[in-house]
Amino acid sequence: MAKKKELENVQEKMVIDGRSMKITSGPVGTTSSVGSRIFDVFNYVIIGLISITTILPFIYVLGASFATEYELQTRPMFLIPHDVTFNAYRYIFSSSKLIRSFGNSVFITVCGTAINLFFTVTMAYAISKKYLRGRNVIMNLVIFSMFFSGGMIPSYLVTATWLGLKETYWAILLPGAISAYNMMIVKNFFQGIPQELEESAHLDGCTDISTLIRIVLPLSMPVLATFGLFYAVGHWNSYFSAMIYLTKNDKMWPLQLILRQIIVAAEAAASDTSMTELDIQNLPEQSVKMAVIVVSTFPIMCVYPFLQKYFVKGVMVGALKG
Amino acid sequence: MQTALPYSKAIPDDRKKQKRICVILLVVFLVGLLGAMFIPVHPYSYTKTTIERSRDENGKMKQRRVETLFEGNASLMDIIWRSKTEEGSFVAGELEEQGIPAATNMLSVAVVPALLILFTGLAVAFLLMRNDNPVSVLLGVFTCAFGTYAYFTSPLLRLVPGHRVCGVVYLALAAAFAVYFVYTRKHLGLALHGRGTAYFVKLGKDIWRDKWLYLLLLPGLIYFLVFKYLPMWGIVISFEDYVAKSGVGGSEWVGLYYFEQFFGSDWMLYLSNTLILSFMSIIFTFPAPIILALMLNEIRNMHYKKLTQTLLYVPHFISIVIVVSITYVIFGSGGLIFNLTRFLTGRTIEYLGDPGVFRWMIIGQTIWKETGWGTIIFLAALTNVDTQLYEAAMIDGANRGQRLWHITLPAIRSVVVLMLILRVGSVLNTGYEHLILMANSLNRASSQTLDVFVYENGIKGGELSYSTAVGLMKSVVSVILVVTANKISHMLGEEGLY
Repeated sequence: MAKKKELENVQEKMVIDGRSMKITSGPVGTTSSVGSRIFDVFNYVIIGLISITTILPFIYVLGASFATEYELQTRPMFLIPHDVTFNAYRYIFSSSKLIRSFGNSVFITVCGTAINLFFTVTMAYAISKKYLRGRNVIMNLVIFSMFFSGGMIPSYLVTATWLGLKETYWAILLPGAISAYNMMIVKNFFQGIPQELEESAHLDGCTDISTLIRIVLPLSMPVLATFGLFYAVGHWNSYFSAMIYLTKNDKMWPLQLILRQIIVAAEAAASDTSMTELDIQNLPEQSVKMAVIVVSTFPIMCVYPFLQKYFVKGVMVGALKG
Repeated sequence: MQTALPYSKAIPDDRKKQKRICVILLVVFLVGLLGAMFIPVHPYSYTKTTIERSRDENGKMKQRRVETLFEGNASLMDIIWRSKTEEGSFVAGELEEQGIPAATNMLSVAVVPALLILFTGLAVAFLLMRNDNPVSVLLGVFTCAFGTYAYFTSPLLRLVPGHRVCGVVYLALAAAFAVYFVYTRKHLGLALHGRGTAYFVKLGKDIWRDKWLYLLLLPGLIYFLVFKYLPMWGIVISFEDYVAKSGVGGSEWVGLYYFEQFFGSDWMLYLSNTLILSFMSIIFTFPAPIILALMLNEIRNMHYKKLTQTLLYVPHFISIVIVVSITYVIFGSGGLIFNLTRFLTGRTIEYLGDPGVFRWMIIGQTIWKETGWGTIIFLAALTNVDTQLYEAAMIDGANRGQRLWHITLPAIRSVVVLMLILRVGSVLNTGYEHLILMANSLNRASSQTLDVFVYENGIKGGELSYSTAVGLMKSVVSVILVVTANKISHMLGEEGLY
């Protein structure tokens, strides 16, 4: 319990919460030398520039998605187009491909996160009990798998051939069901919950499962939210497993894979010298590519500002408890 | 409700001695294992095919296959090694006498004795370490029984000279185990509570009490066994000519053939591409978040800090596909930078197809995406610094640079070392999900790393065994690197990874 308090204190002190005014190697009082002031100005400007760099590409892409093809070809550099047009968006929303893949991504994210949380929580709760026989063996199994893995091909073989999950969503949802690292952190969190609570539940006739559902889970909602978000972002952003397991049916593809097909694969083909003139003409227009990028970035950008502090907390919990 | 598990600890001095004995025994068994693998004692014959070229009277080239028959004794390693390239078999007569088909699977010949020796070593070591634990006795007795049985009855083990002696030795070992167990219990006064049958009764009771916990454990356990440990077993296919139809058990055993094939190809290209990219990333990508965290730490206007941090964390949550896509539309033909360079210099530069630019693109994208997020862990370490240290340093007249050097940097040193260990451990991983998006036919010269090789040969090309072999070498080297880096950090007085 004391440890948890300490953790909370540290989190409160954290820079991100904006309360750690004193924690800086800079001067605390009012007196500061000229050199120090120059450094401060310099530092503020540089940090500002770096932060702008992180969103500048998005702004450029957003602006360019509303521009006409002519303007993109002739003006070398602009953020706000002269002629605003919605042609690109009209074009991509007129094809069902993108909308369907959007739905697929939502499906994968929701189901995947639910599976992740179920597997992570059940296992973490079981091995958080120090008196469980065989617990050390299982912990060592988990830790060893963090350092050594069978590699890409054997994993692919297990999922695709031996389990026969190729061309199904299971191949995307199941192989990443537990992140060993996240599970260990959740386990540590469960161990921090006062034992007396669970014991009293046991005395009242709860089994281990009903204790987990009625006592432990309500207490660990913030942690579950954080890791749920991490898992969800991971699912939304992933493309690789879909690419290797869903090879036949592109109606099942998630958004990221469609994006890859539209932009990366097309561009790689264009820079290939073997392309004919006709092929090049069939490539999507620049503004359409921009619009696709905007559409696939949009959901993350919408939720990010509200969830940022949960993400940071998740990293903190992991970083402090090791 | 729960009490500590009733394992008694042995007397410390005794334990030290036991440990030493264990190490010695393990070494002895390891030497035995190597001996069993390398001493040529097995009656074996093989034919070696060579092609002889000569000219006949008319000056025409003639080719002739010459088959030379070797007969004699071979070691197990020899047998495994040869079974791919040349046709070999145990000398038929001797085998048929004993009722063994001559073309017996070579693997089982080698693996059964090897496993036996390994088990024995483990059992002895375990018994000596935990002589109070009946499980160790069970393991020991089981191994001895297995050994005795195998040496007396297995037709294959009868090929080993002196197999009857081995069987007797195993019998003797079993007796020794029992005697030792009884002796330690009686005379050393060790481990007398809850042992024997009582131990198993307690074990059963405990398991029944926690039945629901085991039920909760089950899905996760199955997950780890199926998706983490089954692939580890699947590594076996790198020593086989894996054919999906015949499965792992039925495919032909080829030993180190694929490893040889890899070292016969232009493997230096893949390795050097991997290492160059990794070291560039360690030099440029690794320090970036540290520097940024130190800079952020100097900012005292909290609103400004919060705003910049919010912006800096954004790219981490963007899919790598989007990052690469943005790069393509900005650097590709008709993009911002592409147009700009044409506008300013009058030349067109193929940013995406240039092997020289490729690595800088990868480094740049990684820095852009992960630097901001990477600062969090260092900022967390910085919040743990006692502010009184800064005040004391200021009273002593330390300036800003001195405070940074003597207080701030030592405070984050252990975190930096930890992150560096992790980074060094993954020196051979180049992030294939990222690379295969950026790789194309034009920048092959620098985009072909080991990861990309495994993906392209294995999943796209279908050469499963070959690419598993390459992947195996990669992960073994990675584990060795992590362990070494961790050792070094311990030697430098840091905490390290474990």
